[in-house]
Amino acid sequence: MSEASLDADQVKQYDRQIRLWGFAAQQKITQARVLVHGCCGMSAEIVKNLVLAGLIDDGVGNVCLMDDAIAQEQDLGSQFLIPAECVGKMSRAEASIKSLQELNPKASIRCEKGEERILDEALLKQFDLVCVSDGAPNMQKQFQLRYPSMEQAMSTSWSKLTKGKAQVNKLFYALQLLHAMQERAGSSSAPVENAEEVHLVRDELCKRHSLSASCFEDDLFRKLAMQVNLHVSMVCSIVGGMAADHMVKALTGKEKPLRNYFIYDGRDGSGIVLDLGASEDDT
Amino acid sequence: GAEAMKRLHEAKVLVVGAGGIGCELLKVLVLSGFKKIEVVDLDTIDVSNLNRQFLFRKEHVKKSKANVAAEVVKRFNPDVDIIAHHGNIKEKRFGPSYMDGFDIIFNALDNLEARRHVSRICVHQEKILIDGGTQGYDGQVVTIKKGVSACYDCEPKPAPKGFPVCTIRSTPDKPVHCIVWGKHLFNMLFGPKDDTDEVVQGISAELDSHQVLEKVFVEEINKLIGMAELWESRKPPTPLTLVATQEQANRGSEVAETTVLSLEETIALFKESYVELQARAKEEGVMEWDKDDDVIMNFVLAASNLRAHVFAIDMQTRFRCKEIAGNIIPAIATTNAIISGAMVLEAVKVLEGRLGDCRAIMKNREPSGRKRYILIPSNLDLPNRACTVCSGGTVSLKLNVEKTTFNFFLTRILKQELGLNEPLVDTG
Repeated sequence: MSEASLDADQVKQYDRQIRLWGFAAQQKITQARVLVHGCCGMSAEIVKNLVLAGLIDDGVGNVCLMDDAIAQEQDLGSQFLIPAECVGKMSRAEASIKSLQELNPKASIRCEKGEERILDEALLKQFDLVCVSDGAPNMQKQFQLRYPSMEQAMSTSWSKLTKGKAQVNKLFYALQLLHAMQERAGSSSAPVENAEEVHLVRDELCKRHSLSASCFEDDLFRKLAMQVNLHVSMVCSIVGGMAADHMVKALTGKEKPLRNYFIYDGRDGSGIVLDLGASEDDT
Repeated sequence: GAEAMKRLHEAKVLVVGAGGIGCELLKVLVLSGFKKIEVVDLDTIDVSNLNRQFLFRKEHVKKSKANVAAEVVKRFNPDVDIIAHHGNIKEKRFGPSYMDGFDIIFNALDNLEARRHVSRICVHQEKILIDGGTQGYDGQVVTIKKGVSACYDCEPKPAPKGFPVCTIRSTPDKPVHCIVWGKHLFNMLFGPKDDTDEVVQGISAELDSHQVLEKVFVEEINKLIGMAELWESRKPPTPLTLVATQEQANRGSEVAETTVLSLEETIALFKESYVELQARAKEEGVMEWDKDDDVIMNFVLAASNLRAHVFAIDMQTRFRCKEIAGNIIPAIATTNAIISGAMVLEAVKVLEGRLGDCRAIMKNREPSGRKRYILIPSNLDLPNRACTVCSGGTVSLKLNVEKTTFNFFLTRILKQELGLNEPLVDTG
């Protein structure tokens, strides 16, 4: 490990974290290139944490934001990168750039239009790490890492999960049911109040994963569904912090990122890691 | 719901500390709908804060943390009524009657002393205190309420470990002993007068740099070597050879962080930083030890490495020496963000009247246990019935009245050991 490629100012500014992960990891962070798809409150937390960690422009660009949705009043309750005066005037991605740049004038930050471009392999190749939030599940299927792909993880035998961790898994199942509803509806605002429809999707999931319907609690699902698209700052701070933590680990290769599914339950404040899917990484 | 939101809007909260946790906490509070916030911090912004204290920018360096944090976070919601105080929470103006004006008090502190102080006032005024702390990837949140949960004094905290005086003065065998000694030497020459810093006799900042080197690393060492009983089971030190190095040129360039300087470079650095501090002492008078002051740090680095050389102990890099001398704890944005979110979640429970639902939250570095928890909630500890602070316990002391001075009783026992700020002493 050496300080060779970090200048004296950087060593001073990043002192407290270099002491945690070392010079070599800090060096890797400076060169990181990250695509952030979706600029909700949680992405704001993630990208804030990454940019603060010390990305530095090397002529190729560090951060690219993608989100064509126009900034709205309700974004301001958790998406602190969007200044109030930008509401209604530009996309959430465009509106976030200036505040983000202030956090680290040395990073190069841009935004790119066209949400469907996330499927564009040429674009994806430019980045070390892609962060998707707010996305429909079909977008998430694009990623193949050394970890189980999103698809593998999600098609894991869920019934294996039922042992011992009933409470967590109820939340996990409810989340999956919500995703399935959203996928079916092709949008994040699925008809979750329609009990018949919910049960229809639920029964399909049960069949596919050999689960009993009792794994799904109607009441829990209703509570969860009511909170769709509701970004609560404290939860964004927690989940966004956890995500960024493990993105840094992935970028630096210093430690293994969480494997592989983090569930935060605000009801009791617990955060649990589930290991889903086949383990290619273990060989 | 709307009712809960109204409670957040109306709650008056105090944030003690506008550093790593403080910045994140202020962000979550403002975004969540808290509207009446006060923040206290005595510190000013340093460049090493900028990796995580995201309300601060380069141009804010040296300004008040509390003031800048309040000003910047207000942009997230201009309706927020936020008052900043640049000051020490232990000052009289922040005493019990001040704290009584808040519904919830948040500790966002990095030291035991201030934590304990706030905890005591909160216990006394029966206020709810939510205390957050982080260290690298680890963190925790604890809620304190008199009679309901343990206060900061319920469990005795391990005293910070010190070193025997003779190890520091005469028989060091680890780098840390030399570094502690180096800080004493700095204090003795340039700091406020304190007898405990007298590690070498008969020197002062009046001497020139060569004379100091001669006194400290040759004469003093020869004196030590003469005390035969010290070296019966130890290797004696070797005095520094100074002849060849008298005319060392200034180092000029910045000191490398991660390579160990050669002996010649170290001697040169000692002289250079000594001369600079001498000049500053004439201008500024008494100086305070500060790890972030490059010249002071270079002086301690050079002094402690010369001492290490004399005692055949490994010399340290500047980076490592600063970590030990400054007792630096690694800190990152993400852990602070996670802990702050968890603190506000506890606050919401309190405001909804669900104190019974409050949990202590631990953040682990790795998932642990069968359930693979990374954020672990647990029941709040119950108050310790023998606690002198929250449960009216008493302390019995046995003192040798022939030997103990009143000053020792006041400063070492009452203030230092029992942490009393301004004790009232009555006789009878």
